[in-house]
Amino acid sequence: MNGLLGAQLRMIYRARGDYLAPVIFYVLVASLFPLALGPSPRLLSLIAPGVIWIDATLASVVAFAGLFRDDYDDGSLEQMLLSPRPLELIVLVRVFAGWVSLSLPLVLLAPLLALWFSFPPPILPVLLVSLVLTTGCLTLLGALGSALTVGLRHSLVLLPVLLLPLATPVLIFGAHAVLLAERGLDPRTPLYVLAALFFLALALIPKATAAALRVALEV
Amino acid sequence: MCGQNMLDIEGLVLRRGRRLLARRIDLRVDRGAFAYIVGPNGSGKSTLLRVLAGFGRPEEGVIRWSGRTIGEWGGAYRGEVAFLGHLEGIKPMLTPEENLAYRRLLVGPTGWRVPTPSPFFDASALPDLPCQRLSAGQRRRVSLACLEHSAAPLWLLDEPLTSLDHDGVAALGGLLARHLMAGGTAVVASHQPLPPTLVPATVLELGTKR
Repeated sequence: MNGLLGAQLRMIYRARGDYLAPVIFYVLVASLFPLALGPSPRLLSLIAPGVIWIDATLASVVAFAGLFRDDYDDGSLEQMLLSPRPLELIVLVRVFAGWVSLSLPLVLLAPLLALWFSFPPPILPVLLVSLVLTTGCLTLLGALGSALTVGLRHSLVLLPVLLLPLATPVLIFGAHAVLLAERGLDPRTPLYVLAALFFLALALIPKATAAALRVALEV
Repeated sequence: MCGQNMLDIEGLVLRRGRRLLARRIDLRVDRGAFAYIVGPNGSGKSTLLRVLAGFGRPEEGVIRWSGRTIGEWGGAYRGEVAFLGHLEGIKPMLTPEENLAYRRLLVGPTGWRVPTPSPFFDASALPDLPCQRLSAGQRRRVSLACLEHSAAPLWLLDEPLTSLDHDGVAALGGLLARHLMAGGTAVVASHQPLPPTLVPATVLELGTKR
């Protein structure tokens, strides 16, 4: 499995231009808010959690729409399905490689965004922990959405419609944890719920994604 | 009844969407032999090969491989089949040798075989460039090099001669002959005439009015 992960990461590195665009999109969207709403630190730090979450969700949806699209187009999906290895495991490796290359940059850039939104620095750890869990859930959901729409045209429009309702609980608890921390309250409860959601997704989604990919290739 | 590495198809009905492609296909391919599928465009050659590869289930009819139906094989059937379709199944951003290494990771050590004495399609002889910068014929050679390393006994080849030059066609003939000699089985669909050294055990014509 290590070899498979290495191969996936190498492919992503070779096509790094495609994977950089969602990250730039993420930074650009966040930078629009201070410009549009004015530079008032109070207002910005108030809306920061919501903005960062919506932004991360949109960037993830854009980024993961094509997770299996290339494999479908060049025929490697057929070969993946014929592999004697469990398809769920291949899917999981692919999702993890996708998370490292697309979501990890979003998490690492969050402190920069926090600076723009005059976000109080002591809350950064809470922000990062909840972003890691949120992006984990979003990556898994994105993989499922990508698998469900892989054979369709115009999936870039369909996918957000499909995914955003599913991403709502993740968004609610993720942003809520940061809001609580900002007010000096204990953010652990929403973080635990978020972690539970992540592990639920980790348990169920690879299997559902594998099934969706099999259906996509049916004659 | 149905021995090792023997493919037996009974009363298979092929549909693509709602369209009926073939009413009843009966086909038997023995160990060490191959079936040649011919027919006009849209007659169901590719659909037949995809059904044989296990992509989707036939509505009617039974496919037996080595005495067991695909359903009875379950997940183990995937290790029995090597499929070469219209799409090359190689990654455009990887070089030929990296593609070979990736396929090796996918099929695992048991499904992988180093061709002896020497490969008919040698990935290391191709330019060390990402495959998206190679010609269509060179990409097909990468794909065939992956096929050549497959230890799967049942080879399903859909138009394998596409974009190959004369040498390539001859090499494919040699490759297939070696696979059959080793006790493998194959189903080949093609419009182009096969190399004269290859004599199919069965010719199945699809799309003819009966």
